[in-house]
Amino acid sequence: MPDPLLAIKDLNVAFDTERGQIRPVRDVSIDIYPGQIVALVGESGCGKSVTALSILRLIPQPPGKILSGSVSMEGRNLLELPEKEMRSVRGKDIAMIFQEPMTSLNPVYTIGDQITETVKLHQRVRNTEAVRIAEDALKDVGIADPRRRLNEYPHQMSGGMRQRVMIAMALSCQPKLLIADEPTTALDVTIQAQILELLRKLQREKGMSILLITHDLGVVAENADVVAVMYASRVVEFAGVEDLFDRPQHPYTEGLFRAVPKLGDLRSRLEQIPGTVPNPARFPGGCKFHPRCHRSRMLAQEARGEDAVEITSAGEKFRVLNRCVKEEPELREVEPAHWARCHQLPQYDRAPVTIPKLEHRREVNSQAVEEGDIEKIIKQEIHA
Amino acid sequence: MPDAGTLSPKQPQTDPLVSSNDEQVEVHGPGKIAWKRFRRHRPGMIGLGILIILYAMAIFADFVAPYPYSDEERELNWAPPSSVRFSDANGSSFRPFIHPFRINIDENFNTVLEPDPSQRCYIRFLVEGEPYKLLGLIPMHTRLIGVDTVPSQQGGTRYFSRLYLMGADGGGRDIFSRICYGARVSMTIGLLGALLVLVIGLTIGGTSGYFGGWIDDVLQRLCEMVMLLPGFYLLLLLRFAFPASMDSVQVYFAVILILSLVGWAGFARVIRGMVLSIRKEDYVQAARAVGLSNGRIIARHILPNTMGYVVVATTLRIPGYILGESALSLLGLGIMEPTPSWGNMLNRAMDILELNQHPWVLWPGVFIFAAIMAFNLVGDGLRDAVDPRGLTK
Amino acid sequence: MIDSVPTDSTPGSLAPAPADSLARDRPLVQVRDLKTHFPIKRGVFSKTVGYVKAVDGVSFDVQAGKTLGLVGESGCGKTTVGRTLLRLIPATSGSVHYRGSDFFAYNGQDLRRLRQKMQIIFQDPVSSLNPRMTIGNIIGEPLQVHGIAKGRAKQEMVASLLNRVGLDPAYAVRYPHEFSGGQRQRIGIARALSLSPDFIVCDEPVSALDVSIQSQILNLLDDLQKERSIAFLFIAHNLAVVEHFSDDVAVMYLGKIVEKAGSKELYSNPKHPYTMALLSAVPEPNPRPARHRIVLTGEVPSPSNPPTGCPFHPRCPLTRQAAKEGNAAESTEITTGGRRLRVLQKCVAEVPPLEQKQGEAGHVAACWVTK
Repeated sequence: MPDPLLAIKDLNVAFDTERGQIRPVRDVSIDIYPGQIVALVGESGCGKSVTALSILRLIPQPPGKILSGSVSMEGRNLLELPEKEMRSVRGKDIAMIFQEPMTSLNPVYTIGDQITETVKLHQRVRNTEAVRIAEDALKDVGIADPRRRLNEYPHQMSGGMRQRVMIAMALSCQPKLLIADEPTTALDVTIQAQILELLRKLQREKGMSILLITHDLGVVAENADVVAVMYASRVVEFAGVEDLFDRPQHPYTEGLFRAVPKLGDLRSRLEQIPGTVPNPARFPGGCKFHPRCHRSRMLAQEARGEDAVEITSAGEKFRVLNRCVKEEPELREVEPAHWARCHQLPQYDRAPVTIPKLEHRREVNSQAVEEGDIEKIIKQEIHA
Repeated sequence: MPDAGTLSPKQPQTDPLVSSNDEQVEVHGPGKIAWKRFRRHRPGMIGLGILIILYAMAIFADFVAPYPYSDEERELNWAPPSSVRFSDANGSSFRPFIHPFRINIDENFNTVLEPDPSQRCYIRFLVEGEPYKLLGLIPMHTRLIGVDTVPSQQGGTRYFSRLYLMGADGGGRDIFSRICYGARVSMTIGLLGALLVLVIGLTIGGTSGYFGGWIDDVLQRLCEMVMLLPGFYLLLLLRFAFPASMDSVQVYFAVILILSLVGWAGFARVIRGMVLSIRKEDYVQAARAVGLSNGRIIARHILPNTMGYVVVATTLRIPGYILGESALSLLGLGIMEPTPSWGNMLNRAMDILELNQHPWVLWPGVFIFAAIMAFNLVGDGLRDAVDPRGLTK
Repeated sequence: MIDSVPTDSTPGSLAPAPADSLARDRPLVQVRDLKTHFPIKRGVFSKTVGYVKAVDGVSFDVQAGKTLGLVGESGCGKTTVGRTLLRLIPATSGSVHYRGSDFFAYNGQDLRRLRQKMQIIFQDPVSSLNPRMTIGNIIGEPLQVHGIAKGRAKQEMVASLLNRVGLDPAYAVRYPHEFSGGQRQRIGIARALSLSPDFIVCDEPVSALDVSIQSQILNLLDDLQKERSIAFLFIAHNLAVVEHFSDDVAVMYLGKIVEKAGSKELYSNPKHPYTMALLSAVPEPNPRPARHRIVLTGEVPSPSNPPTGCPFHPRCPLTRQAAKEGNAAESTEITTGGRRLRVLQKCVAEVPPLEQKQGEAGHVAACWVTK
């Protein structure tokens, strides 16, 4: 197995708030191999964005602080680098694009100014050379007439165009890793399709790795090689994308898959995960998912008296397994190359605690057609 | 109409929304949260403390001040601040005392005012003094602080026993007492002025922003006209619109009116801007969709959401009005003698020669400074406390 | 329930319903040729230099107790449709009939009374609740203003509404900031329900919510519809959600409806190339995607300066295909986004009508190319 490009190990992050300390990231370990797309999936407040920002040491300190763990890249621990060296890592080795292309670009500078600034920060080039690199970068992301666009201001562009510019800027220094934090959430579906297609193409051509942070299971399924599902600051499941979608192990992952309406299933009742996404200031004890867990509830019905315990959640009383309330499960390799954090898996007690590492690539890449007989294709394939 | 049948509260619900750890917490309204945050803002709390002291001084001026504001002792004009002592040539004392003043005629036949170190006048607390009505209601004659008297004629020399904590003015009136009474004017005129501005600004800004169209155009042009004139000229201009000779109560209210007529325009404009943006919020749309009237929407859904800003802006505006009153009174156009205000007390400090000889006439300025600083500290604290970004955390 | 609702078409008269059978056949809400144009103002004197045609001639019916889905991308005017038909935004022209009476003709007190029956649920759970009011006041205010309930009776109704949307009635004394997005959305639903409406505009009700919460809200809306036979206009950009939730779906592009059909029919037999692209762009939660992705080129044009003819022609792959295969005389060259394309002459010159296509009855689309 080759060495990972980036290895996050046992990362713990804390924030001091008015109501005391919260821990948005707990014991997160993720490896990213060269040329791999790793997806970090989860709902709001699960800690996925804080994890990404911690890699680049971009969380505001204070109130945030990195309690423990390491982020190694090419033999260096990024968390211990002096700030000056860290600045050269940001943008050059690891670049990041954000959800909101509107606020990530400075409105008072032209697109050209902003890209050339990044280029000159990390590469010793002359002005004319920097402009040429910027022009190429815009061409790479599919912007027509790049020379003219260089002199435009962000407000003159649409949301999709701005996101392309952000990607161009991020890629102008040929980073080895791109962190994409909800890159398409603010965009329309047809534009989202364009941007994801572009990211995949660039990733293949340049051989870089992508850490894709998203809440959209469709985006994950169609783009990721390896997926880490986060819930309540922890990685609760980690597996290759096919493995995860075929055989989800954690009840949360399972519930998410069933709760999302899919094209084609009409007006059936959706399955739902009860309860609310937990507030990081008030996580429940034991397994963080137990107040919402269908598996624990179901097993409690069959369990003997002392193995189950009654809990109250918004006026509703129900029984869950005692172990889920009392003891927090570990992330264990419950199947080969498949990690999950749930006591109630039959294999859990025998499964080893190993660091999740997966040098896996997806089997099928989605294909895009731009022209051609799309009417026929749609009929064929939607029906299939 | 909603039929009770389908809305039966007995209906079982299968949807737990709060996880088991969600203990019943007390209700935190927006006001309560703001107060909790404000309490943690140290400078703001210091400012609030100063303001409480100043307002207590104003309300209980009769009790705090050793003398009524017009109590003169003409012979003691420009008497320096009394030095409060615990010891003298005759030994020390646990109780503070002052030496009484003695008036002598020197070789040039000038009167000379000096303390007589051979006599002691002890300072006493809760003493009998001039009668007054506390809060205008309760007849009392106890005052917080007083001083023993001495016989006024002793062998051809005249003695005076008066406590001048901050010296005396040209009429021999106690400056500290006058500051206490002056606080009544200065500390309330800013507050009432700001409240009047609040009413005018909310009405005009709210109407302008909510209805828009020609109403907005007309009101905005009016605002611009007021804002175009430099504030101080406008202040003077408006003052001359009132008769020159009015009694102090009339002048007091005239000054409030003048201050608010100068100040409303800027405030109304900001309110208009806020209303324009709040009007687009979904909850206002929802209020329209459920069929509320415009008046109710403005009063219940729009204006309460400007409250955070309004409280901060009003607090930060009060110092301006205090200064405005001071400026008018300083020029002799505001509150008239003998009624004291901090501004008209400073009138004498305009003469550099007098200031040089009797620097204690600047004491009212110290109080103006303290009041303005306190309001600004409180305003800053409030701004942090009502910051809407913090509300959801 | 309908005693206070005008069913007569004469504005201002609140006469009781005529024959019930008449009312039963006609749609609950009838929208005809609705237009909302916003003026673009420039300069010192606010001169109107043009119009953003946010909604440009939209017609549809919503049947009692049914759901009409309205999909489209941002800026297509779907939100404006919902707000215009509730008169939260003034319409430029067109008409909305509620139970046969002209909703746009009412004013003042009569309008406020009629509004009880037509409610709205918003996208943003943060801005849709007044942060200065308790939950009890937010839900109880409409009841009080319309004189439906006061005091204890009001409190009881608020409690039962909270209970119905799955919230603890004890929450009535709390403020909105103490709730999560999903809970706030439930509160918004309770407010809309308080006046027992029979028509609710759902403006992207789940798109701001977490995935695990979306299905809870969709199921709640579904239950309420069955229980109280409320009609929904369900506005969303997520095709999978709309298709799941709606009986009929209308697709909007640049202020116009380009295709409308039964939910299943639209999905299995799309006739407008834009609908096809939308369908194929929805990412599938399947790691081995079977279908190809149609990636549309270009961006949605500005509604202030829409393309001539068919508004979709600069992005349309079908017209390019047809131009390639067809007679050269029937095609023309256009430049868009720096690219030169050959498209059908007809698509550039004439606006295609919304007409019946092959397939289910009532399946209409506005396209010159498809049959």
